[in-house]
Amino acid sequence: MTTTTCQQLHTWHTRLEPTLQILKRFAGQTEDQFLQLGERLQDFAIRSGNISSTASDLVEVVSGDESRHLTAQLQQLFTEMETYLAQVRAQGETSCHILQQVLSQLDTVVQPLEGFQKMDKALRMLSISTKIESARIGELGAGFTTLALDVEKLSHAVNEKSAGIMAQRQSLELLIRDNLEKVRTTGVGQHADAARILTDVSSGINTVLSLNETCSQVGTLARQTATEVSEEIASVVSSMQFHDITRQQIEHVIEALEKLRQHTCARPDEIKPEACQPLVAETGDICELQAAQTRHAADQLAKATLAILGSLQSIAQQQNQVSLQLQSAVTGDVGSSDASLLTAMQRNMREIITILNRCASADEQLSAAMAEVATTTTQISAFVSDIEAVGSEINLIALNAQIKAAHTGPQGAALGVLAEAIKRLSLDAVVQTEDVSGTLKAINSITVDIQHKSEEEKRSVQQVAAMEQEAEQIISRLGRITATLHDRLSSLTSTATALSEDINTVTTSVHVHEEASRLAHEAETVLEQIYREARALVPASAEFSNNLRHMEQRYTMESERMIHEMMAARHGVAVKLHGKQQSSSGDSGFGDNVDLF
Amino acid sequence: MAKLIMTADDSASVRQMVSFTLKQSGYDVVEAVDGQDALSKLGSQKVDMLITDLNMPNLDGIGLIKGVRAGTLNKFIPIVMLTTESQEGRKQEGKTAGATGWIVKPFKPEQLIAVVKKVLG
Repeated sequence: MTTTTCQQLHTWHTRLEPTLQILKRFAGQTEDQFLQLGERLQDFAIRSGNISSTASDLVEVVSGDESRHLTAQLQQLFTEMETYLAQVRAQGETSCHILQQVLSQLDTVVQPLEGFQKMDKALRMLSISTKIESARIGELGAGFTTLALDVEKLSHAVNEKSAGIMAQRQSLELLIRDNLEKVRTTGVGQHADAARILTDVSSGINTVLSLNETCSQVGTLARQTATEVSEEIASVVSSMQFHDITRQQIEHVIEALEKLRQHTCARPDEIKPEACQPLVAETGDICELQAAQTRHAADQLAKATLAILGSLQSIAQQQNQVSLQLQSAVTGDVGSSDASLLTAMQRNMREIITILNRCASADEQLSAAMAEVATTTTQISAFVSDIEAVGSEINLIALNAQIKAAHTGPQGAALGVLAEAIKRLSLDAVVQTEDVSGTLKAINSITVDIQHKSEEEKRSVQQVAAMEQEAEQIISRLGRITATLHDRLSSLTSTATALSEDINTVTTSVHVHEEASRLAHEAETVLEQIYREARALVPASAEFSNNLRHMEQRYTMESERMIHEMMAARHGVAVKLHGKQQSSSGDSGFGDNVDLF
Repeated sequence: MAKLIMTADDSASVRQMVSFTLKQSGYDVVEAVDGQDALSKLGSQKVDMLITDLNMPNLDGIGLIKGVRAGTLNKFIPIVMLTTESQEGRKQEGKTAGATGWIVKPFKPEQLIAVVKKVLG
C-alpha cells in the first residue's frame, strides 16, 4: 500500500505540472483583453456623453427659451391675424352696404333725368311754335325769332347736360355693380380661407405646444438615460476590476499547487514511506480546496464579464432609444426628418401671408373703386350746376317773352301763351334740378363715409405689411431652428447608431470569460480527479485545518477565506477566517469597503 | 488647475480604471507600475494625492507609503490604499505606515471620487 501510495504521489506530481501551466495561462491571458475592453469603454463613455449632450442641445433647440419666445410671438401674431380677418369681414359687409346705398340713390336720379329729356322736347317744340307764330304776325313778331333761337339753344344745353349726367350715372352704376361683385366674391373667398387659416393656426400652435411638451419629456428621459448610462459605466468600472481580483485568486491557487508539488517531490523514492499517507491526505485537501477556489474565480470572472457586456449593451440600447424618441418627437414620424413639424409650420405661415396679402390687395382695389365713385359724383354735380344755370336762363327768356308779348298787343296773345309755357318749363327745371341735387347730396354724404373707410383700409394695408414682416422674421427664425434641429438630429442619430454598432461589435467579440472558464474547467477536472483518487486512498480527516494552515496567510480576499471555511466545514473542521467586511473605523459614509483613518 | 493624482498598481487594467474614473471627474493622473516606480517618480514630481495597491512587485504599498512619508516633496499628501486585502491587521499596518484611507477592491467610481474629494478637502 505504501509503495503504491508513494507512486501515486509521484503521478499526481507529474499531472499537476500541465495543470499549473493551464492556470498560468488563465492568470496571464486576460490582462490584454481587459485593457482593450477598458480602452473601448473610455471611448464609449465619451461618445455616450456626447450623445447625452447633443440630446440636451436638441431639446433646448425645440423647447428652450428661443422656442418658447417664438411660440408666444406666434400666438400673438395669430391673434392679430384673427382680429384682422374679422375686421376685413366686417369692412367687406359695410362696403357692400354703402355701395348698395349709392346704387339705390342712382336709381332715384333716373326719373328727374327723364324729366330733363321731356323738357328738352318741350323746349324744341316751343322754339318751333315761337318761330311759326313769329312768322304769322310778320314784323310785329321779329323779336320772337331771336327768342325761338335762344329756346332752341337751351334745349340743346339741357339735352347735352342731362345726357352727360345719364352717361356718368350708368358708368357709376357699372363701376359699383362690378365692385360689389368683387367684394362679394373676395368676401366669400376670404371667409373660406379665414376658416381654414384659423383651423391651421389653432392646429399649428397646438402642435408647437405639444412639440415643446413632448421634447421636454424626451429631455427628461435623455437626462434620466444619461444618469442611467453613468451608472452602467460605473458598474462596468467595478466589474472590470474582477480581472485583477480573479488573477490574484488564480495566482494564489498556483502558489498553493506549487507548494504541494514541492512536498510531493519529483521522485517517489525521495519520500519517506511514513510520510506518504499524510501527504496523500494533504494532496486531497489542497486539490479539493483549490478546485473550489478555481471554480469560484472562473465563475466570478464570467459573471463580471457578462455584467460588463450587459451594461455596454444597455448603454447602446438606451442611447438608441433616446435618439429614436427624439427623432419621433421632432419629426412626428421616425425616420422622416423631411416631414418636420417645424417645416410644416413654416409652410402654414407662408400660406397665411399669401392669404393676408390677397385680403390687402382686395382692400386696395375696393379703396380705388370708392375713390372713383367719389370722383364721378363730383362730375355729376358739375352737370347739375350747369342745368341749374339753364333753368335760370329759361326763366329769364320766359320773362322776356312775356314782356315782348305784352308790347305786341292783342296780335301777340299767342306768343304770350308760349311765354307762359316757357315760364312753366323753367319751374319744372328747378324742381328736376333740385331732385337730382338732393340725390347727389345724399350720394356725397355716403361717399364721404367711403373716403373715411378708404383711410381705414390704408391703415389696414399697413397692418398687413407689419404682420407680414413679423411673420417673415418668425419664418426665418423657424428656418434657423429647423436647420439646427436637423443638424443635431442627424448627428445624434448617426452617433447613436455608430455607438450601438460598435458596442455590438465589441460585445460579440469578447470571449475572454469563455476561454477562462474553459481553462478553469480543465484545471478543475484534473484537481478533482486527484482529490478523489487521494480520498480513495486516504479519507478526509480532521487534519484539514493543519494541512492548509500555510494557505491562510496567502489569502487577501474575503471570498477566498469564505471558500476555505466552507471546505473545512465539509470535513467537520470549524475555521474562522473571515468576518463581515466592514470599515474598521465604523461607518465611513462611503460604503463598507472604505475606511478613512 | 486640475489636481494631480498618482495611481500605483501592478495591474494595468486597474490603473486604467482608476485613471478613467479620476479623469472623468476632472483630475489629472500619473501612473506608476509598482511601488519602486511610484517612489522614483514622487521624488521629482509633486502630486496632490497617491492611490496605491498593497501587493506589488519590487516595493509593496506599505513600503511605498513609508518611503513617501520619509521623503520631502510629497511627505504630507493623502495616501489611500486600493487593494483586495481586507484584513484588519493589514489595515492597521497601513494606517501605522501613514495611509490616509483604505479601499477594498472592487471600488465603485462614485466611492473613489467621494473619497478623493474628502481627502483633498
